[in-house]
Parts: sequence; C-alpha cells; structure tokens
Amino acid sequence: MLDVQPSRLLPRWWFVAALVLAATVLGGLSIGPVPLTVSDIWAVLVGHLPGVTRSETVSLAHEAIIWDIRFPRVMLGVLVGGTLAMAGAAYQGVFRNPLADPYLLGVAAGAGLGATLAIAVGGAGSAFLPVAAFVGAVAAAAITYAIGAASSRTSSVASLILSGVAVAAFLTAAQTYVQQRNSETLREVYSWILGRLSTAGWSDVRSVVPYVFVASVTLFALRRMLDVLALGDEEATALGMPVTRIRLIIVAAATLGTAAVVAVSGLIGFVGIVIPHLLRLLFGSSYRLLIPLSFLGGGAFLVAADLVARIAIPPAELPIGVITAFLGAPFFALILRTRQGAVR
Amino acid sequence: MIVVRNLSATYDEHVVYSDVSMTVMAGEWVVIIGPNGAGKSTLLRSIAGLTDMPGSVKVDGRSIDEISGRERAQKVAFVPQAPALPSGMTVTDYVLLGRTPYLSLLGTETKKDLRVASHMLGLLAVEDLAKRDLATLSGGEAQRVVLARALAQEPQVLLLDEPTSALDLGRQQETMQVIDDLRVDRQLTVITTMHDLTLAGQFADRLLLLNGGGILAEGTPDEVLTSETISKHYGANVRVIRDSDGGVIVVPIRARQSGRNIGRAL
Repeated sequence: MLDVQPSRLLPRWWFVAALVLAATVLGGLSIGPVPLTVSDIWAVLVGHLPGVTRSETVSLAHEAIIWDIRFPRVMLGVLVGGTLAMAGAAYQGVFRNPLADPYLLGVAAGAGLGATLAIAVGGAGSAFLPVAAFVGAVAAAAITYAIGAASSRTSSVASLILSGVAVAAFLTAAQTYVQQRNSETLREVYSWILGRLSTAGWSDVRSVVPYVFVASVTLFALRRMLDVLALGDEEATALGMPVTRIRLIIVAAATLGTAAVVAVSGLIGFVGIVIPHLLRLLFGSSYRLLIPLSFLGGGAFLVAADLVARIAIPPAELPIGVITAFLGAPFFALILRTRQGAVR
Repeated sequence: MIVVRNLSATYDEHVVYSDVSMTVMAGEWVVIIGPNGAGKSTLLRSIAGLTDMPGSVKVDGRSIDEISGRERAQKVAFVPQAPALPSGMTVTDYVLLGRTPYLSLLGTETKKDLRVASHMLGLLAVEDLAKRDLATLSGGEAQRVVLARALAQEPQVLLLDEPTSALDLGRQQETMQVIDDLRVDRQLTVITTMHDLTLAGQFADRLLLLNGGGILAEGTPDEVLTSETISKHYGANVRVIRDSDGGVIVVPIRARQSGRNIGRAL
C-alpha cells in the first residue's frame, strides 16, 4: 500500500527558513551608520541572558546601539512582517480570493481614522496613537463583518468583501475630513500612513507580542481548516465543517494580529499579499505550510526591507512601505514569470 | 438505507418541487432524472443536508438534522457537479480532506486516516497521481480523485450530482463502472442525478423522474424510459430501443419536419 503523507513542513525547510530569518536579523543588527561585528552582537545578546554578567569587550555606546535601538527594531520587523504575511495568507484562504490582504475588511481605513484622530487631538507623537489605531482597526472589521453577515443570502464571502469596500470608503472619507480640518498634522499622519519601524523601542515590541502570539497560535492550529475552506462553503459544510464559525474565528485572529501591528508600525503594504503568493509558487497552496512559512518569510522580508530603508539615502530614512513595494514587486514579477510554465 | 420524507424547495416563492419522498436501500443505486430546472441538484443537496428547506432525511433511522455536521459527514458523502479542485493542492492532501469528519477541529491526521486515504487511492487506481497538483489532472483522473475523497469519508450514502457530465464516452463508462463496483463492494447507497438516460438506465436499479414539482414516474429503467414519457417531460424526440439482454437505449431523433420548415423559411 502506498505510504501517504500530507504536505507538511519538512525539517530541512524549517531549517532553511530559520536560517534565512537568522541571517536577516543578523544583518539588521550589524549594518548601519555604526558598523558592528558579529562578535560584538553575540557578546551583547549573551550578556542579556539571565545570570550572565555583561561582557567588558563591548563599549557602552555600542551596547546601547545594539540592545536599545537596533534589536527592538529588528524584532518589531519580524513580528510586523510575520503577522502581516500570515494574516494575508489566512485572508486569502478564508475569502478564496488571491487579492485579499490583511486590510481587506476596512482594517487600514479604521486604523487610519483612529491614528488621525489621535494625532489631531493629542498632537504629533501622541502616546494615544497606537491604542486609537488598534481600536479603529478592530471596530472597522467588526462593522464590516456585521454588515456582511447580515446581508448574506447567497454568497457570504462576496458580501463580506463588498461590505469591506463600503466601510473602508466611509472611514477613509471621515479620515480625510479630520485630516483636512487639522492640516497642520498632515505630515505626521502621512508618515504614519506610509508605515515605519523607526519609532520602535522595546515598549512597542512588548505591546504587540501578546496579540501576535494569540493570532499566530490560532491560525497555526486552524491551518488544516483553511485547506478544507479552499473547497468552498458547500463542500466544506458537506465535510462536516462549521464553516461560518471557523471563518469568524480565523478572520478575528488575523484581524487582531493585523490591528496590533498596524497600531505600532502604520500601514505597511505589499507584505501581506506578496509573501504568501511567493511561497505558494515555491511550495504549493497547502495552508499547513503557508501559515508557518508566511510568518517566517514575512518577518525576514520586512527586516531586510527595513535595513534598506535605513541605509539607502543616509542620513535620512525611506518609508519602509516604499521599499517593500519597490524591491518586492519586481522580484515577485520575476518569480511569477519563471514559475508560470510549471504551475500553469 | 436512506429515507427521505416530504422534501420541498422554493426559490422566491416559486415552488420547484414539493413533498418529495423516497426510500433507498443499502446497496441500491437510484438515479434521479428530469429536464433542466426540475430541481435535481437542489433535491440532491437537500438530501445531503446542505439546504434548510423543509422535509426530513433519515440515514439508518437517524434524522440528519439531529446529528452534528461531522456525524452526518461520516454517513453521507456529497460530490457537486463541478467540485472545487484548488490548484497547487496535491492529490494526497485533497483525498485526506475526506477525513475531516473524523478529525477534531484542531487535529491532524492519525495513522488510520493516512491508511484510509492510501487505501482509497489504491481502490480508484490513482496512486501514481498522489503527488500531482490537482490543476494538472485530466477530467477522468480528476473524477477518480474526487471519488477517492468522497470514499475517504467512509460513507454509507454516496450522493453524486452529474458525475459523468464533464467526461468523454470512455471515461463516462469507466466512472459509472467504478461507482457500481464500489456500490456492490461496500454496500453503498448511491443516489445520482444524470442527463444521459441510456447510461442511467444501464446502471440504475431504479429511476425517479423529477419534473413539474414532484416525482412523476418511478420504477426500473424499463418501466420509466418510454418514448411517451421522455417526449412529454423532456420535450424531446426520441426512439427507445429495447435490446435483447434487457437494456434500454434512448436515441435522440432529429425532428425532420420542423427542420425543413426553418430551412425553407431561410
């Protein structure tokens, strides 16, 4: 009898993915205006392990650059990129739509309105901004879901997507109105909308970790259900799956993670749509692979993009969203072209 | 055994059919025939428990409304006319989806699930395709793979909507024979809808003719397939030939008269 095995992440792929991520993290830590050696980085990281005394070989300034500036920024890059890519993969699966991205249900517009209000009321650098963006994002997705679910008579997927369009349009209009009424804040709002990791400190990392953890664990646990959903609502129901409930759980988890990372990093586009597709072209479309690989791949991609954003036009920084699209799009087009013959 | 009582279907207050009842025994093959729009597919989906239309369906004495979706899926497998074949998914992963009713929501396949999937791949002679992408399969290969997935549910009842509509003549006969072998082998209750009346007659134990809101004829192919019945319900010109070994062959005949008239008018 044939030995049957489902698609799963083979140990060597785990290894390669972890290696790629580790390499980009190392690059993110060592490259910058002040070049740092791998041994410096190693000494600082080891020095922060509990029970280990600080190494004397690294200067305090270098230690501060590594531990207080670069390391939280790189970690935030991993969490934001990983979450956006994983949430994007989940959305594409749940909605069976290759164009679905983490911002599909009005999350971006909701977060944008929340952030703009926070900046208008609290001024630039308002501590209230991440909370307002988070609340806006979650509220927008909840409203979209309520409208879409209520109006679903035939296809709940299509009505959800369409209600997402309506909610996003409304919230964007509201956001533009608030922004125009407070035009002195334009620059701050614009910078948030373009997305950045530059304000990151450990507090940002700490604030997103719980949400990212809940979202990743939920989506990873339901990765097989995403494969069942690929058959469509009717066939999934015929296989005994509670389609509506599972879809709600997956959407809620993906939205929670997205809202949390958007709240600290702004709207970084492209990652959630391209990383999952890139991995699909390389590894097939099973979500058993796509969910974990998207997290690792998205994290590595964003750290690399942030590295470029930091060093491309010194001493200034480019908005990271510009880099993700500018580097990611041609690369994706290249893969798409070379793989087209094989995948059809 | 499956017992269907008083199923009705309406779309926007238009009654498609009402009070349809049938009993199909274990190991029996019933084919639902009828013209387009008679509600064959809807009826099959209702029997599968996929609509919330009125009526009752009992499998082995238990109403499918009273058992969980998972339990229902362990008893009844349903294959739509055009099943989704997600590109990029391997045949193995696809067949394993048939084990969904046996897994918890967060679970992954056990050794037993893998064994069942492997067995079904063998049964339908598609082991060689195990690692292939669904998008690369031919129509006949895909039909076998879809059947392997349905059988991986280890159902008592197999519901197939137009299982041969996308296949060439050879693949049609092959698919019907595969289903028939499985039916005999596993004492499966099989209900299918079909347009090809000759093929239906060759394999069905019983035919049900669904039209005009209900079942208008029921019986063996020999009883149901008469030229009067077919021309009345399908609006078709046919000649029904009964061959020496009891088979019924339905041959469409071109309506010469009206054809000439149109030709002359042109």
